[in-house]
Amino acid sequence: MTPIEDHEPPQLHQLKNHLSIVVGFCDLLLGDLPLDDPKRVDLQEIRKAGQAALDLIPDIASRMR
Amino acid sequence: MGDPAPRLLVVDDEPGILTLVQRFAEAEGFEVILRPGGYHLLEELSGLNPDAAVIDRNMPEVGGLELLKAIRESDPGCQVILMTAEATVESAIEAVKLGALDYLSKPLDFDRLRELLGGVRYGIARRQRLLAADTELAHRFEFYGMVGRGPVMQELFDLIRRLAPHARTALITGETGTGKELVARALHKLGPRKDRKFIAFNCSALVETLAESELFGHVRGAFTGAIESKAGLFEQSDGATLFLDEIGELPLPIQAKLLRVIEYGEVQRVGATDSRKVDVRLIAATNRRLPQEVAAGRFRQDLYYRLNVVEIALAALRERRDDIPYLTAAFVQEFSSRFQKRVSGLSPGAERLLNNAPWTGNIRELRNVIERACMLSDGRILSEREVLAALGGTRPAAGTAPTESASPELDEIMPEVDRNAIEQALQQVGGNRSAAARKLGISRRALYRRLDAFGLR
Repeated sequence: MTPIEDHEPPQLHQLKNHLSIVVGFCDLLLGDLPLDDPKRVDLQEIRKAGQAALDLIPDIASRMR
Repeated sequence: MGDPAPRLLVVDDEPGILTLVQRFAEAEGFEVILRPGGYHLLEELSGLNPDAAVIDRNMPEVGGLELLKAIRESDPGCQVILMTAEATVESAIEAVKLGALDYLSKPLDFDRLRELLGGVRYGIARRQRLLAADTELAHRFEFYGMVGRGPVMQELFDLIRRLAPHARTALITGETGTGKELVARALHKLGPRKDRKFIAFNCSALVETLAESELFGHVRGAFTGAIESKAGLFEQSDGATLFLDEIGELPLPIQAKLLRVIEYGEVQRVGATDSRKVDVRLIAATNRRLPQEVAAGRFRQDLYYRLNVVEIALAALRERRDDIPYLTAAFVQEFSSRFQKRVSGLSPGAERLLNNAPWTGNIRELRNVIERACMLSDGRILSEREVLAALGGTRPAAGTAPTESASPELDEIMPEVDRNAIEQALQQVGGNRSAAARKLGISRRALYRRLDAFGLR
């Protein structure tokens, strides 16, 4: 069986990579910051948006096919 | 010296991912090497020596799966974790089948990655503890420089302990590299002459015409060039221990004179009319089978009977493979510290190779192999690849199990020596392999390999 990603347009793959970096660094910073740090809320907003964008990608991929 | 950090190789064509994994892994105590991928990474791979690798599956030029295969082949001890933006069940199964430790989708699950890296660290620590335990055992079972835990060696040590105080002459037999000189030294150290000299001499190093003078001395004018009188080895060893290695190589006339020394304790210098009394403890050694040499008329029977009153036969390493881990551990420790390397363990594949090798050169060969492997290594764990290179073997062909014995390409080693030449040389020297190797101008190891390949052993 051929993996789905071979059919995926390269731009989508890149988009996923970029968003993964956004989410990944949020995770790292959240791990560094103390639990009562006020900046956590902002970081969580960035992370949430990044993850939401990632979640859209399978749908976009299927519409492009 | 503290334990150095385990080394993690991270490969991704996306720089942001590289930095991300680097930040995480360094916080986890890893030394991190970053690479953007590409063909040249394949060439560079063997020099990087990572303990683990995190690799992107989708990369231009060289894909993650291809890189995974290359790493699994060159260094099976390195654990590989694949990352992908789009994980499917099929691609995950494929990766794991190829030997990946795990398959992570992006965005990375850092808890899972932490677990995986923890596993890698634990694995390294376990290999180190194993070697440390073997080294300790090796020390506990050491006997005058010999290491042996198995029953064969324990009996040998016991025999040496019992014989050493009494035996005036002894014969040590065993293949090359089994430790004949160490046994001789132990006999000396445990004997009544431990505070006197131990003189070791290799009979095969003797030029036949000078052998007599070397062993028994000469008087002034005994032959051309004998400007001064000179005491031979026996006189120098008076009151002490003389170790004659490769006694089977002695020419027959010298054997007769040697017998006289042993029987009467009298030495006659070359050209002298009178003889002198000497009191020498003689330990002889040979890798020849003396009864056969006697039957073939190359060794005096009376001398053989004189020598073999006390005979100590040493086992070949392949007959006591149980001791290989302890010997290995002792040698790794020795050479790791001598070369100031940080080697503190062996990969399971490397252990298998050592346990299964034919060891025709016995412990000396094992020691040389470990020495070379330690020299080649810049990692913490001796890998299969390093041991294989040290064994003089070529890389096993793709698809074959790495545990299969690595028989080197013969033509690469010595293209000019063929079967006939070896047979002839062996016949000319009466089957003595050391002498045959010298005649052929190749190392003894090379000769053994050749003999194995031609089925002449």
